[in-house]
Amino acid sequence: MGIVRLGHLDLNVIDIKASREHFENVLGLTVEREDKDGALYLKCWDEWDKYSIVLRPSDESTMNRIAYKVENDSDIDDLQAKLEDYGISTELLSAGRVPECGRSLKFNMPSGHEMLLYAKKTFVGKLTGDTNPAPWPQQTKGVKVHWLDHALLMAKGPELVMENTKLFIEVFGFKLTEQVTVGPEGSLQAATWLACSSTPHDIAFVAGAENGLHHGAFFLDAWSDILRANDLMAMNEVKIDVTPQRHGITRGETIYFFEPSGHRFETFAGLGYFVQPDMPTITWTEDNLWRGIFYHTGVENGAFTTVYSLLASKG
Amino acid sequence: MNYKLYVKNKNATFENVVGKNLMDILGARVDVVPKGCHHGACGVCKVKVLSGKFQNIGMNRKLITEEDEANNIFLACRLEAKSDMELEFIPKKRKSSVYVLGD
Repeated sequence: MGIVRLGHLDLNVIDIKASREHFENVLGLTVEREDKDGALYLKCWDEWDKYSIVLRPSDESTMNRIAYKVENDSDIDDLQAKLEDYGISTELLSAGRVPECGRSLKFNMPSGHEMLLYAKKTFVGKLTGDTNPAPWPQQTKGVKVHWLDHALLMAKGPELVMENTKLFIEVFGFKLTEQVTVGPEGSLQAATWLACSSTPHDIAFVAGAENGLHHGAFFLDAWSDILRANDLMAMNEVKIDVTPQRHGITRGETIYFFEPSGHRFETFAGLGYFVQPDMPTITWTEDNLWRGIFYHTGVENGAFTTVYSLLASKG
Repeated sequence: MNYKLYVKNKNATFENVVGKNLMDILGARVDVVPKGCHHGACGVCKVKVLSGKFQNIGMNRKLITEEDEANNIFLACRLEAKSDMELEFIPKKRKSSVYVLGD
């Protein structure tokens, strides 16, 4: 079956104390594991695997890696063969090398972003339980985000956006749901949105000056939750990037904000639309780009493609 | 104490600089410093400190090296003023050969 969903985002943070407080108290995640080196593993209330966010204390605020879950352990062998065939070298990691996970596969996307695939992660369960559950947990703090929904990665130039996109379609079987086309006759993809689920995207790529992480996104149900979320963020003096707005692309209802170590996150509400393999791909032309990004204003807000976190220094 | 902040190469003065990081002050005018993350990840608020006392709450090593710090180059969002200060804003260098969406 292959990749089923986004598993976790692994980040370095220059202020782990402030970042921890933010994820716990403002967004409502819980710390499920704390390592001796200070690494924290956090989970949203509506997730059942142990964690979706890893925070590592560091002298950098950068992205380490992004991990996706595959359905079966045998998918790891399958995808290793497919990736090697495709020309991407992989490393098989034994169980436990990725905390709380079984065997995993480590490789770099054509852009250089590190990616992991794993089949098993420790089961914890939804906070509401799975027997006669309440619809949401009363005790959860703040915004009460449901789950980590997607991430948008910045890749250096349309060529790398297109190479990453090709990988996700041809090797991982993702569906291209939306794209921004630029250049002569719109022959280049400057941004792509790809889904392995029935939601508008599980990953996205945008062409920028440098590789990086544009944002991770948490799911909320509806517009009223977006209003409440921004109220809570203001009460907690969270730095807001974009106040409640709709995206033309994905139809998502959105707030962009910066957590205390500078990583951009999003609270993203609504299904948008139901994705199926035969859904026609949506195209946004270069002249309508900003209507695609910010449907209400249709204008750039000055920071969208220049402000984001970079990839972790290696070695 | 209310301090004064002067950005020399923008000829911009900011008053009542207290209790916030420098980017929170400078960010009020996007003609002086463009929008940023205000917390150290994005690098748009690079400044050179020309004069004044400040507290450095810790740089992002991916963006500011030890050599930068020795040359008084910092991220404004990770500095707090402890006296009147004079700064020079250092804009992010654009790699013109790479297509950036929407630029």
